[in-house]
Amino acid sequence: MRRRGWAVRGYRVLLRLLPPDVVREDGGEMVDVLESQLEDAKGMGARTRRWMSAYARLPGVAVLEWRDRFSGRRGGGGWEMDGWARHIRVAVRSLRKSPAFTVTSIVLVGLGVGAVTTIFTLFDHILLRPLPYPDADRLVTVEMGSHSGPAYQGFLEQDGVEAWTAGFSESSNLTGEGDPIRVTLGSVTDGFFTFFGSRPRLGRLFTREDAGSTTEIVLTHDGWTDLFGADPDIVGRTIRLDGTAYTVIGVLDPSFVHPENIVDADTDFFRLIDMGADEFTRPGYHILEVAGRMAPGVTIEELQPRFDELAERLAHTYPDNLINRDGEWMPMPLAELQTSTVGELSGGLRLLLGAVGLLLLVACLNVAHLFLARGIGRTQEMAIRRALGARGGGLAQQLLAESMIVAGVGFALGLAIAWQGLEAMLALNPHALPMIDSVRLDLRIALFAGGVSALTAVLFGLLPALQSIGADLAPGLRGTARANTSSRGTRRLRGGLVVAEVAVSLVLVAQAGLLLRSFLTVQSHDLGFDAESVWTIPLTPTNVDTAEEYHGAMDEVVASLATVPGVASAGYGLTMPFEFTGGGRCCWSRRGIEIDGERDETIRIMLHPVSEGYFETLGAPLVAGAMFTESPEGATEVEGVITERLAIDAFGAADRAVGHYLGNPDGLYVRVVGVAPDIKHYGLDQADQTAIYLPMSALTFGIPLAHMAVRLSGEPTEGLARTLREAVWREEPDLPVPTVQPIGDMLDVSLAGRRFDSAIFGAFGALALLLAAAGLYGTLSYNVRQRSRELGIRLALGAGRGQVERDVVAGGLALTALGGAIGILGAVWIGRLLESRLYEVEAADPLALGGAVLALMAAATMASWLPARRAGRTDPLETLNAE
Amino acid sequence: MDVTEHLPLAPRDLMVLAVLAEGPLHGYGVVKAVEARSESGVLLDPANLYRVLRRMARLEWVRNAEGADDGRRRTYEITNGGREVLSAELGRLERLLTQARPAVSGG
Repeated sequence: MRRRGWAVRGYRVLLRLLPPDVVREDGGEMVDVLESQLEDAKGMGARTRRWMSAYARLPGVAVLEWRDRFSGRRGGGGWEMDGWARHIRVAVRSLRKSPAFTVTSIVLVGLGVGAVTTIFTLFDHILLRPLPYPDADRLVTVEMGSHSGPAYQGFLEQDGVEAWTAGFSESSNLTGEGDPIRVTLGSVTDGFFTFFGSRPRLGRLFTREDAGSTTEIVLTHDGWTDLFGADPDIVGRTIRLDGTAYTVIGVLDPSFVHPENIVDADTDFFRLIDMGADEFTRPGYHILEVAGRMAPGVTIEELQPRFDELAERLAHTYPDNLINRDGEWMPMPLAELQTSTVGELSGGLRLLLGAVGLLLLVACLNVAHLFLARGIGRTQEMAIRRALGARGGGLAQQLLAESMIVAGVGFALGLAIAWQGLEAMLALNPHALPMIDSVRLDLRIALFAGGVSALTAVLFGLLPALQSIGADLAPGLRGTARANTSSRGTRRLRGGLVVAEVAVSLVLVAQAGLLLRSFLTVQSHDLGFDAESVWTIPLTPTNVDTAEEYHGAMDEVVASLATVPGVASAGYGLTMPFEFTGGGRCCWSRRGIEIDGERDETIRIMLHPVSEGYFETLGAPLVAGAMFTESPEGATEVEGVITERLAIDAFGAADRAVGHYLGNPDGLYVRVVGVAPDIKHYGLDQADQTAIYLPMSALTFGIPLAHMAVRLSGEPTEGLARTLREAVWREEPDLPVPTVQPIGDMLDVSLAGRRFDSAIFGAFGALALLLAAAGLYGTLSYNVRQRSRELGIRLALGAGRGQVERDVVAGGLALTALGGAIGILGAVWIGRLLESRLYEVEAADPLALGGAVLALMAAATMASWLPARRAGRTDPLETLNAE
Repeated sequence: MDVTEHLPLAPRDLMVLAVLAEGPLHGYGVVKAVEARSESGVLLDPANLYRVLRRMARLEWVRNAEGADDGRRRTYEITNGGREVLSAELGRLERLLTQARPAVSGG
């Protein structure tokens, strides 16, 4: 026996796929044929092609042979490869012949599926999925701010709620574990962990027996691993927070999810609230966030009247705290915990979901478009194939295979995009999204979006086959399909698709315009100070109890910072600009003020205790007057600097304020010595404040909050952050210094939301615009091609080229105008949903709408002009000869 | 036998019958003849070739030629039934071409 090559031996092995009787009958012959083929093939390439094709085709035959065995069928005829394998092969070949069509439609499906899947995954995860707690559907909270101890006692007495829990979280300093670290400490009621169904990983969690114990602490799994290196002997260890010793009694299971409306998501330590403590008997100490579990069968609607009664009763008991100036008592609206946790985010996500939905719609419209155009262009091919004996069903199957391949590959691409997109979204906006750790790509929605795309592709992919089945073959065969009547129907359909695309794109572009205008308007505001070269260091001096200790310690820290080489000046205040942005406020505000002895209830003032170096360090030279000088502790009359806004509101002009007196309800009299520029303390999108800057000594209580700032004389040096930290620790070795950063970083963070909004809507808008333009271009090019005979005749009869070109462009612009008109209505209507995210811009902003229309018109003109030029260049002789 | 029930023939069947109509061939001979004629570089692989031949043998369009060639390789020849089917298919295609050609040639 001759020695055979490995390719032939491999083929022998593959033959085992066939039914044994076939191998017995023809196996030897088949191997012989392959061997002869390989011997005769010239060159390596030809041989490789030979054996690869023999290998690749054998499995298909094997499937057919086995099918025959099982179905009892014996070879239905030479067309048996009409099966799906053949359809797919033919479809792939046909798709490869038109790469532009194939790539475009796959990318469209991919983008649509990817975008929708990404956003819906977030949407579902945050808004729709039940909270991971027992009986999550029965959990409620009481909204309208935090609650006092007495209010919580009132909740406990209500019928219809099985259990309550309450808590809050605050910054705390962990010492004795290396550098002092700022951590978040949660204080909760003893039933907290039972309420949320939490389990321990190590040790135990709080139970009712622990009530009153204030020295036990429970760690989260993250806190345990990050701060204590997952020390297996942690239970029983003593740790120090803010100088107080606590004993660790347990570590939470990693599956624990923070109930974010009670404690911050980064809370790593939990201790018990001492409900007997003095502050929890005070009706004005609003600090507790609560959650309750309704009894089975009870609804919020049934409970609400009882809470209205309770609110009224409490208000009458504590009128000073719970009744406002207008005599209204504070309401206590119940809300589902889920809704309450998600809060504001829901609007934004809904909006995004709407936007990607529109994008998917445009993508599908374009896919429909592409398939329709391709189908119409193949009328002739279909007619020939029908004439050659292909059955309508077979043709339909093959077109179906093409559609499914496009949809399938597009779907895979979409999954990849969604996976990347989700990572990007989380990276862009990590703090704004609750419970984000456990997000997984949502396959259901990916399948839904993929299904929508596939349906579009299949529906519009099949149209040509359906047409060819019913139609007279002769015109198709003669290549005069342009004359047949069905093309007028499809032309109208294509026109309709373009109108829809334009309308949807306009909505997206207009939304992007509105958000971008808001972003730019916000950004154009003057900061009121020079952020360049300013670095800030937030501190939490929890170890000081009295005002004197606080001032003393912080003055020493700021003096130490001022001696660091490269630091031109240093100052501090209770807060720094951009520390609290958005709706946040800290920490000291009063409504009503006495202006030179006369009460004015309309002005709300913010009080900012700052050090003498504050304005110099921020680079905010006073508008009028001079900086205050420190006054002695406990003085009732102090010097102060007011903002320009307050100066204008109270005295009419900045330079008239100096020398006047302002009094506030705390019994403090302020002599105005200077006027500061309007610093955008709470973010660029906030109105100018009416604020008074007071000497630090006016702060009559110790508070665990101080914010240092230094102005550098030059570029930041290597290791600046470390040097500044060490300067703080020279004076306060137990104080954590979590961040040392340029104040510009905080500014960036405060703008992140708006930047994110305009970036994502801008991207969606641009994409939609591109898609609409592509759709228009495709439609017009196709129309021009279809009408080449008519255009040729018109040109031959003496019509000017310009005239023909203008006609085509006008046709395109007419479609755009119609779509644009519908789009404007949609944009105005949908714009209302955006209003909360807009800044100094109306939903029906003419500039944004006009800009969107202009952008669309420009794109439409471009998209129409190219086919128009082709129309103008139609050669009359050529087109007429072709008939 | 009503040959029309098998029409139209798959192109591969048509080509195999056409080359066998010129004389008996063994398997590899069929491959070479078909490929030489199709000019498009279409490859005929052994598995599909013998599946076609098996089916045609069942339909009695081809049969094993006795005693021909070297005896080691099996040789196939066309039957009268096979010729009938072949000429019916060619006639169908010719009629079709007559109908369709004017559209292409512009006549």
